[in-house]
Amino acid sequence: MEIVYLLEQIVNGLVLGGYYLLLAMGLSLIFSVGGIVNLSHGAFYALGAYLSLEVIKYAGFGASLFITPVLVGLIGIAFERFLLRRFYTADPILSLLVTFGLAMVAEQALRMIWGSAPLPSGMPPQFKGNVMLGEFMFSKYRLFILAVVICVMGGIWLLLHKTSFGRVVRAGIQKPDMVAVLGIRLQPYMVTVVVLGVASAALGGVLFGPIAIVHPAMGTEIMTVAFVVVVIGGLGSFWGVVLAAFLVGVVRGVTTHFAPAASEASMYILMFLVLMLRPRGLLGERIERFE
Amino acid sequence: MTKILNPHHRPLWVGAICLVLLPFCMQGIGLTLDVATVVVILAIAAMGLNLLVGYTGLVSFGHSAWFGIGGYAAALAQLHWFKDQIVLPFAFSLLFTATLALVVGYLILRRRGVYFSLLTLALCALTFAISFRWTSLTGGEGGLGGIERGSLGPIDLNSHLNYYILTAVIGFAVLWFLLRIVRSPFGHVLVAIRENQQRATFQGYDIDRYKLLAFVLSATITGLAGALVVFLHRLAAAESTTVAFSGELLAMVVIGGMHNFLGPALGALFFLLFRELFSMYTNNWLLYFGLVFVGFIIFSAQDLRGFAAARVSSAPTRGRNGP
Repeated sequence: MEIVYLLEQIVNGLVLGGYYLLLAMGLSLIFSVGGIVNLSHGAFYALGAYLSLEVIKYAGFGASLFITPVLVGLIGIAFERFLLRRFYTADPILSLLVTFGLAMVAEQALRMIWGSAPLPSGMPPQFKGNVMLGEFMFSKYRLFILAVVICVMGGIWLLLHKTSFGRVVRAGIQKPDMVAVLGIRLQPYMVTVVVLGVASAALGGVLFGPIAIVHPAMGTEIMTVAFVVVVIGGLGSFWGVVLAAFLVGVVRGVTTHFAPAASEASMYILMFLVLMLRPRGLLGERIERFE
Repeated sequence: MTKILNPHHRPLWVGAICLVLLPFCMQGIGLTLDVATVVVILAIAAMGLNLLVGYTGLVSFGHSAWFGIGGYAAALAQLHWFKDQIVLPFAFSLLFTATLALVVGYLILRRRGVYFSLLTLALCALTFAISFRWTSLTGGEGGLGGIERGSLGPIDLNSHLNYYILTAVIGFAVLWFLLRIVRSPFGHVLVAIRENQQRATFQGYDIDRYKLLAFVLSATITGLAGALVVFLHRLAAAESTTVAFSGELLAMVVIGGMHNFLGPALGALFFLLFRELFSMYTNNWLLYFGLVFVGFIIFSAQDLRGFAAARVSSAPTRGRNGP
């Protein structure tokens, strides 16, 4: 029975990992392509969760799954156009500061519009209940989340590795100068990368609204975790981020079971351990401009 | 007299005049003496941070960790070992923060640039997780209460004025100490590291050791400020270790001006005045402060970019056109 319980915790950890992955992938892409450390990424996640509450009222959960990421993606275009674009050639530290300020503004704005109290968010009725797989019992909704995350990540992988768009983006991560010499402007690609990144963060907000609590500081809370995932996984590597997200998720899931108080501390310790052994993260590549 | 007013010592006498005038100005605009004390404490913390950010070029996103650790160390020392004393808890707090910063700095200074910032961010989040969750040691959410200021010889520190004077004297000592540091050969090596780490290495400086020492000094000074705030509020709280507070400290440094010796102190004053005056009218003062901060970085990025550009352009291997 103990083993069964542990396995359940591992599956819950995988779901948690999927949730981190939705944020960390966008963060890692924006970071690798544009050299921007987007500390306001969590704000888009929180915005997704809040907007979803409104959209669900009028259109239901299924529609919110598509509409909310699109809405946040549109905001992402403005974000790229008016803010990020100024900082591509500047020191990464400046973008770190400016997006931190933006996260502060966004959190306060959420507080002003929806109030500081946590808002209840109902689980969509069709996903209530559990599924029994042999001896294991899993929440239907969590399995649904895992499936969505796998689909989204599959899509991003195909986009990055099987299309000409992805080839340019991957080249841009490694050798932006060389891409420029070949006569390709990276800027239009960056808009798409930012939109993809913030839309998947918003999707995370939509999916996790029903099982997490929707409150103004939710973005800040998830932010540091997402960065831990990116740092453990290593920059510029798709599989590194995937591996790190699930690793962090499982480590947290299992420590929540054995030592609940240490579940947050565990991932930071994991990060320090990884960085001691592999300074560029698990599968990270050497990228000159971030050294 | 002319010797003291020598322009060479200007930051010192400007600082001294401000420390004397501050309580009167605060009370003049209807704020309490404790607000003046907090301004001085935050100024100490911000100047400690600036030794790392402005002078060494290492942007720490986790200095609230040191602020909190210094505070908790002083609080725990007083509660468990030195009942009702103030000097020994301070001494313990300084020693403890410095030792811990030495170990942590050794580990996280292996990485530079953005990675260093992210590591300090994680350090800060880790400290918050510990201080918030390890209830038996840190009191968790409620914090550690029951701290006594006690007295220093015949001076009773429970009076607001006496505690301000103590803080101001410590603040002035920190000012003098930091001025000596940044004008010493050591301080100039730090600036050389900021401008171009590679060239500093070629000059034969053991940059790792210089950065580590700068990190330890910076953390210890910020920890000292944390201990002062614990005795001011008679409470060590987990709020002082949040990432948000780290960002606020950085905002003070950036807004005040990281390349000016007294800039961070000015930033601390600005931050507190902004908070106190705006929170009278609106609960959302952080929104406006955030907007000011973002606007400041966007529109005066040229100044900030000064050192950033120098660092990028002087290392041809790292040059890039960006997207």
